[in-house]
Amino acid sequence: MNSSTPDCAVAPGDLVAQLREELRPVYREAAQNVPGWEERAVSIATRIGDQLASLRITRSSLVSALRTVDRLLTQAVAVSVGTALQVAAVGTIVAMEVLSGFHEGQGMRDERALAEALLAGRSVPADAGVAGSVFSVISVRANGSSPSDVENAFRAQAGEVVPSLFGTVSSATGHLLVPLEEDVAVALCERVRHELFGSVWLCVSERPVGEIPLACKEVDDLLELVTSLGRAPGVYRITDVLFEYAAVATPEVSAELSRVVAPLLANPVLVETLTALVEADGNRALAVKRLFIHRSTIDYRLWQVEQLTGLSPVNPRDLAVLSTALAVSGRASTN
Amino acid sequence: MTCTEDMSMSRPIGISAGAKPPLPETTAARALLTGAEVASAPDLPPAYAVAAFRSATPSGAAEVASLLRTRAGALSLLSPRGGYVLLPCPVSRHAGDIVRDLHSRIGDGTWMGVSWGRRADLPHVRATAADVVTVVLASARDDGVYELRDVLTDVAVLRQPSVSARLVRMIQPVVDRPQLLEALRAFLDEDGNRAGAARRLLIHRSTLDYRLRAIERLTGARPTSPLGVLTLDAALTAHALVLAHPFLPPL
Repeated sequence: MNSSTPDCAVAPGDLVAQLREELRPVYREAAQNVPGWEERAVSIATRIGDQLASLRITRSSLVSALRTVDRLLTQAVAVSVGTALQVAAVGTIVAMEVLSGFHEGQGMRDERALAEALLAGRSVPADAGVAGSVFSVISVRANGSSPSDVENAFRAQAGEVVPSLFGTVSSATGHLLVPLEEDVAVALCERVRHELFGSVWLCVSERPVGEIPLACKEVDDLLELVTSLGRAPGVYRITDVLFEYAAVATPEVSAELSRVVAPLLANPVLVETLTALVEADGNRALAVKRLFIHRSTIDYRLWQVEQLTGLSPVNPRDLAVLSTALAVSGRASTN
Repeated sequence: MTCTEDMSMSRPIGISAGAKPPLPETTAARALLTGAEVASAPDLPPAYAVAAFRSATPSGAAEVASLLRTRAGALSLLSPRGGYVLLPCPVSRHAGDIVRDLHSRIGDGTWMGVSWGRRADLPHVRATAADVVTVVLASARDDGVYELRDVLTDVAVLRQPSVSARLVRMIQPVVDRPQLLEALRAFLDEDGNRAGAARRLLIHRSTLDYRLRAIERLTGARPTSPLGVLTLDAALTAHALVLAHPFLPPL
């Protein structure tokens, strides 16, 4: 974790001792030609490089430490004629993988710092190359996946679409920042959602580089809204809940919407009928089938709704307002 | 609209057009609407119906002013083509009726937004009445008296700039194509009835369906769903608001 980054550089002697300790089994396996030693060498060396990236050490001190450790370990493992080649190879593998893990980790650390700055609305250096770009901010609620699961899923899915993935879900604000337009970010989120277990809600909003904090606020509000509205897990953007979003943010309007549907709430049959009609896109014949009722029954119920609310469910505009009102007032009563 | 016109439109005038110094009624109306010191006026009624209006004719505001002279306790703040009217009204449910009564006595071409509140809340009440009449005009509704309840979603969109910006961006490609815009307007005027919209436009039903599909492709909003109808309707209103110019007097 970044928070554990020490303030002082690691002493060269400590670095050599640490590397020697961790790499000793790798060299030993190579010297004994234990099957699979190469794969293990690659994975251990990459992890070491990645860990070292969060410490304040320079590339040149790491290179010189690796050289020392290679000499020490090559001497320590008894080199017979038959295994000299393996031991030479393990030195190359270790040096390459540690260094590449180190570079990648440092790149991620720089990305993280840049993302934190952008998300917080701080100015970023001109050479960061983000001027004029569009970003999407993503907020995630994943029951059953840890923040690092989510981040790994994003890194795995981003692949070739995203040249670099900026923020992380473990960043201070809990947002993910991707240098993508909203449509592309939504597609990425859909793939990530399928990779994660459990119920996952992802909210996405696009903004130009200077307005990223606005997008953060929007996705936070959006995530709060879709979960409080009881929306199914999925990927959401503001256009999916436009009126609910605007109504909830405007207290006078949400209060009036609640007053409009208050007389309906005492009558669950009418609420059920309206919900079925909304799900049927206002098609009464379809709603009748789903409700197992007669056509004249639905007409009577819809007439009752109109008497109680002043809004006519057979008018699509009014039906959409009624649907928004039910969602917003249902949300108010559960909070 | 030129700059000069704009300025004359929004310059407040007294209760009778042509009065030079502001009348006490105007001062009281402004004080109430801005929430300035009103405690020093204990004779004022405890609650008001506030109407914000826009008149199509140049004499509209003067007409309203002359009607108000006979009403005890009525206050107003007017500009040539619009303004605010404050009518004493003790209970909220009467606000609409009181304003509708006033509206019925003036000629055609007056749009009014009404809201109600106690004296201390009048700045909010004014904002609501003004937003109601603003969206009513932007959505090209018939002249008449409207309350928040009649235009809930449009007012919510107007109050949330991030939402209205989205809608404007969404509808722009349709606004840029006159045939599609005409089809959408007819479809919305017919409350989503495609047969009615095709008749109104004198085009074949399948031509209309084709245009509606083009609208869906450009906006992502499905005209055959209730939510799509409301979204497209609100988007046209939001788009019209971008071009709207002020008609209410400054406070």
